[in-house]
Amino acid sequence: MGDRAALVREALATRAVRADVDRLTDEEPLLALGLDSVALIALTAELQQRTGAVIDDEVLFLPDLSIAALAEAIGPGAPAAERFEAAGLGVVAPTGHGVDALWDSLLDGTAHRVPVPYQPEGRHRAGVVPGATDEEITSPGRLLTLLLAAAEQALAEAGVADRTRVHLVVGTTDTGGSALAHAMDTGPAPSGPAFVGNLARRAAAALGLGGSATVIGSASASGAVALGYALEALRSRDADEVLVVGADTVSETGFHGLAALRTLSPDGCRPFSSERRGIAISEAAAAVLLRRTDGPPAPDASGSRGTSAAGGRLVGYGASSLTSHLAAPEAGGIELAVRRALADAGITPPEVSFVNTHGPGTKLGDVAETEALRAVFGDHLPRVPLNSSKGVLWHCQGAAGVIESTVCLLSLARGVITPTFGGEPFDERWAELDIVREPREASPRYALSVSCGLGGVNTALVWERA
Amino acid sequence: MTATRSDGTGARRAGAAATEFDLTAHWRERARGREGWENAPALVRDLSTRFTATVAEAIERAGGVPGRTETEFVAATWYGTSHVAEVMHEQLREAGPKWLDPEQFLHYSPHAMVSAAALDLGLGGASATLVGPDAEFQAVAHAVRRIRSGRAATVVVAEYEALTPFAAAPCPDGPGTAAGAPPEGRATALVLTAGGGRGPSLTVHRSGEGEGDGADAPAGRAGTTVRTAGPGLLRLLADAAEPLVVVSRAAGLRDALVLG
Repeated sequence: MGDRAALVREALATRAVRADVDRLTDEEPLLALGLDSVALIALTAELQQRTGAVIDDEVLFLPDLSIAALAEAIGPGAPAAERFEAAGLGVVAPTGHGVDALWDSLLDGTAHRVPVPYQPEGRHRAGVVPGATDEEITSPGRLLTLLLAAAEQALAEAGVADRTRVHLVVGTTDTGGSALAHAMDTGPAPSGPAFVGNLARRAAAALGLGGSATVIGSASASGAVALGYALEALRSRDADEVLVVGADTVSETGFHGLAALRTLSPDGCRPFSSERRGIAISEAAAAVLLRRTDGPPAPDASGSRGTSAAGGRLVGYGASSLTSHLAAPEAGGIELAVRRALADAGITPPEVSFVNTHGPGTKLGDVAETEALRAVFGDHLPRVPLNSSKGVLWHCQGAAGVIESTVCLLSLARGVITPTFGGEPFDERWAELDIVREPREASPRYALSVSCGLGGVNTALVWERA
Repeated sequence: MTATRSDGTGARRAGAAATEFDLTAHWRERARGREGWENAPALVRDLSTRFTATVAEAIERAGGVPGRTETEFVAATWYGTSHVAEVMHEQLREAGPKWLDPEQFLHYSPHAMVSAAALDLGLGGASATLVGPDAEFQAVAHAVRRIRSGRAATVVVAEYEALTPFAAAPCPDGPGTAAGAPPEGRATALVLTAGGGRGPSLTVHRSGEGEGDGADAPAGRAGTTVRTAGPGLLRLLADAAEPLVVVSRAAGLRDALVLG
């Protein structure tokens, strides 16, 4: 009963002042919190979604409806509420090392960029970790180095007690990058380190992780797909803790391949701009330690919002493969992914506090994504804050889904929706949309993060504030 | 969207198909170096066509799938389409970026095989491509989880391999190839569905679970064939006519897949 009452208190705290909720006894009527009937209906809907219980109207409309009454209505047979907390985060990116450096860059729009270190020298630049030399950027061990740095940050923040129980899922586009090129150039016969399929095993061994080690190679959505894969493992109780890392380098084949597809812009990513011309890529690794916890969290005695992102939770994942061309984004496919993510989270479009878009700054990609959002959100879309982090981060490829999820978690924890850099002049076609252009204070509860990859890999994740 | 969800009762192998194919002609072109570059994209087309056909055949043998837009797709591969990166690397070293073929780069990601098959067959569910020595085991386990939880009613699990002569050299945990023989290509697909249809059941047993504990599962199943997971696991599951237990070879884990 205590756990169920705590769950009700947790749900109440998002609709009323937490201190008032904490002062209320289990038996006092909820009317004392000033909640109206609409708020109570929404509250019971959330409790039903989270517990699987069915709460009768007779209970809902009791004049003295209390925490105890709702807890009893949930019933002892209801499954304990499971949560999948982001217990630790790590970032190594053109914004520097750590989430605080990332946050500073998201607010001031700065990141480290260098001329692409490949011949022939041209106009293109790439985002790289500050201080990195060309030799480091192109070294065969770069992918593993970035991965391990981000992973160690997340493991440390999460305070993992027993690393042998942690599973590792790595998302990357790198299947023929610097390590393979090095092996082909130098010989002798290839060995394990040259192949990305062995990356997760090598990383797990270096980190001392004892769970399964998985590599996801699903184009630029690899990081987001890795998070979805991890969520399923946690929900099925095949894992208690999963470290998800998105990682990529600026490899020669990757860079020139994108150039051959005429996807790259020398101006970098300029999401939603009338002058958007394509993407620029960055090296990066981002890590999220997802932990399954049962039952409601202990009430926050201070009532204050933490400044760490750790504690936000992953509540929904949706994806689709629907497309009509391997090289073209498809609004219908993105729409399906977003609808599935919201359904998985058990929330409706108006409950989304903001959308961190894929927002690559390509001619077709930005159009397809906003069409998809318009289809899902309808007339409500102009009231949903939208942003893209790619104006600062550029396209972090396989790391994008994880680092942009980290952006969402930081916004949820710190109460600020970060601005979209690189968009000036913004395209007039989106004049009616609320594209966030300055840091905006808010109290967001649900963040929607969209990630897409070449070949119609469309994904969406829903993160909830702790 | 929920109409085709399962009731969470478990997964069955509703259909399967597998193929192997000769890649000698492609490796002959590769051996010609620059002279053979114009034919390099033929390999990705060939591999993609055969992979899609294998998936289509598995779906047909399953009697179709009820909702293609909802059908999920998870693939496994060890080397993926890294032959694309190999060729690109050669081209960059010898002639510079102007020789790169945009069509070929569309297949740079190992997921490209799934994308092409999904596009051709109208499969619109969530998809993922897992890479590496444990990918086949992990892909099957993921599909079973999706069905067991009721989040998917049908999942296509597939694998493909097209090792290059470079990659086929001895490599720990790699798929390997017959000594001295050029590597062959292969593709396998299983259609897993929810609930009480035809076909043997497929379950995942974790270390530490009660009945049928992970690697201990075979102990309670006298007469059952027990194998260790490795490259070719899906082919094993596709061909199995009798109950079968496949134990994960991942370090520190003793999970098992049980068919039948």
